[in-house]
Amino acid sequence: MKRFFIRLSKIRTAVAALLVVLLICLLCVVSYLDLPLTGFAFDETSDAILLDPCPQHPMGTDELGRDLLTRVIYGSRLSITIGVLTALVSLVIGTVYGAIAGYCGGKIDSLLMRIVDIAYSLPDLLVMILLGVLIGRGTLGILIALALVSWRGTARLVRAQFLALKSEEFVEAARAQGQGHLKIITRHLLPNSIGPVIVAMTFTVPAAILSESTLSFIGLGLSPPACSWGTLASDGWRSLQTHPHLILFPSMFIFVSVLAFNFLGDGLRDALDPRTRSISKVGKEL
Amino acid sequence: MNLGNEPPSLDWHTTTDSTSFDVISNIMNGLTQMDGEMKIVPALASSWEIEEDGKRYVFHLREDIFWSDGKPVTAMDFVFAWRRLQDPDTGASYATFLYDIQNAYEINTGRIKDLSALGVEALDQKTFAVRLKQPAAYFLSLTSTCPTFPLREDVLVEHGSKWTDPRFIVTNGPYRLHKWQHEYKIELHSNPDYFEGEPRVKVVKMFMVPEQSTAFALFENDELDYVDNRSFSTSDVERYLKSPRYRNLPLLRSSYIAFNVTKKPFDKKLVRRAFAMAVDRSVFPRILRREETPLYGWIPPGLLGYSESTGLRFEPKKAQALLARAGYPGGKGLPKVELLYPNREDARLVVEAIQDQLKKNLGVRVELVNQEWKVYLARRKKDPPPLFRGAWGADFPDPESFMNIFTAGSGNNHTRWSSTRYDALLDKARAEQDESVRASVYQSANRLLCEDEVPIIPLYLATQNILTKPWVEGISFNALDIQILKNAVIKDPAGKDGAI
Repeated sequence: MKRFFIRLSKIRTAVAALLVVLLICLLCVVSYLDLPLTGFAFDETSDAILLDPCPQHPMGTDELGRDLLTRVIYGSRLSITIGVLTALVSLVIGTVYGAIAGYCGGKIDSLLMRIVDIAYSLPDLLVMILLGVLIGRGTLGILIALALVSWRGTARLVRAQFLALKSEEFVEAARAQGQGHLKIITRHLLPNSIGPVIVAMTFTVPAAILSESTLSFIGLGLSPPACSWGTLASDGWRSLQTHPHLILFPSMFIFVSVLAFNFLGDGLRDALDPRTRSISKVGKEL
Repeated sequence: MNLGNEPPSLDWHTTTDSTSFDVISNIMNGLTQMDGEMKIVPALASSWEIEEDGKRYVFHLREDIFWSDGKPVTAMDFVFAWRRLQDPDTGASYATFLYDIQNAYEINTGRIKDLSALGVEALDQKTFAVRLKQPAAYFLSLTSTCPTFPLREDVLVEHGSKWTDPRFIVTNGPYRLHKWQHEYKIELHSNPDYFEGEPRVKVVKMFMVPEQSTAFALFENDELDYVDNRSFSTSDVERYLKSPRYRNLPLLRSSYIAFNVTKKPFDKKLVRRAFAMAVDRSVFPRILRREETPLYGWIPPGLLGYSESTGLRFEPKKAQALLARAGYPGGKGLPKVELLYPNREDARLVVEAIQDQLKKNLGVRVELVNQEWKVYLARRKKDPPPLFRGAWGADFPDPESFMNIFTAGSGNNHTRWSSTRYDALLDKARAEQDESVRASVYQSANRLLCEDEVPIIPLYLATQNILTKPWVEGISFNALDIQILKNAVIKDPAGKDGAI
């Protein structure tokens, strides 16, 4: 564990990314506390319509005179929550599914993996739109729709890990000792395959943030006055030429957080998997 | 030009939307037409007499009017068309337009089966007579609208429901339907035999670009010669406010919030009044930025019966008191209130502003439900939610066109509210010949609607915004939102192939 942190701390982009991710998560937590940070409520309309950024409104105001900074902070609540929760849900579903497939092997594996293949062949956006229509709008609908399309990668990953690990000697040894299937999975296989899974999860978060933005952008997202970075950007792009601040700030937040999560994922992968690191090192030495 | 979306149909009897009317009004003419000031002037009828105190109209058709297949336009084409409009089998929503004609209502509702009982007749080839059951002051205005245009019986018999296909349709207007590429464009070619002379612009291309930003980009690239509200957002037009090519024109189109009066808590008049008094209409021009006029009564300024003092003003204190009297002090005890609105930029801004105002002024939580246009229309018709946003554009410049949508039998009244007193007032106003008496009757109906019963909260009167290219002149726009292209001129046809 210690070695992992030392390795991680040597990757500068990852450290920076981790800091940014922590900051964004802090922002999200702060927004849940409803602290009067800016002096405005996120849905408070006023006569100060479409102001450019100024000392009182650091990010300006929108068409209804609402403070954009307040709305961006509020938006982090939904964007980050949806990102993290989607990643967690897909982690759970994907891991259980992949574990069963990988461990059982044979016909069960084939069947489960063909289902994943089928699920993979459906276009994500289409599935999300259909689910969104079925489940209804709002945070829960988006969450379920996103979780249901993002578990497949994790499932394949875990299965591959299990297939590789289950013929390793330590697993053979555990089996020879007479340990049960459940114990072998939870004690030996899962802990050894958790690295790549964590990495995959950090990549799911930004993907989910972007998907939520996409859904909100095409109007299947939240209902007003609730907002996420995606809905803010979607509302703002109409006035791109006249009031660019309305799209600039929310998209900046989407951009920075997606980038940070991706860099963090890269760093984690390098730190967790010594093989890829050594390969890259060899590459550099050559 | 840009139509925005595909016209659902070009059958001027069954279609009801302004997109279709934009096409039809350029390929067809009726008995009369409206000039730029919305005055009625002759079209197919060169003159007319009003007899028997307004109960009988006799129209004399011009000699030089022809259908696009060369046959003359006759009074029989009108008789056939108006009978078909009332035929219950046609299913025309606009049949109500001609309910003032003798037996029209009875035929349309199936009480009289014989279509020939309708009070219309062709006295000879070129003379068309109409008998009304009661005088209707606005009747001449109706004869300029699309649903009253003539139709050729033989064409309908031959081609059935396919008669609006460009291969079969016969028309009599300044342009002819040349090509209809669905979801892409409609192409009109000028009619060389048009009785007012062939239009100077020979080819009109009507594109169907629903996305405002796309349409506006087409305009900026000179692919469209003019654009209106359909083709740009408020923000786009802001850059052109100073341009001489920008025009902001009045429009008889009003927005409102309606209550479903059968749903709690809006079954109580007091609650409805409280809501109406808690909405500050003065914010809408600032939010929408197109010089909208805040509305308190349902008859807009400029029409007969308008009075500035009608309607409930914005008085949050009184609104709170009313809500408390209704049994919901401070909004406590109110069920969850849903507000349905269509997925359009303007509508979203308006309902979000109202949501915040109701929260601030009444302590009421409103949940906004946004639906795609067709779903929104269906939901409003089938199961109207407690609150929904609506808009209405006048079909003819008369208070009747606004007021009659809230009568008991109206297909546009989704509030589930009806009042025999209101309907009786409208009946009286319709038959009244004296303008000032008529105005005062509409005024009392307006008071009943917007001060006493309050099934709707009028919000604002919209405007039409036009941007034209410098080389285009002569397109006629009126407050009914019908755009007539026959007098358009393109000053420099070089490279523009004389098309709009």
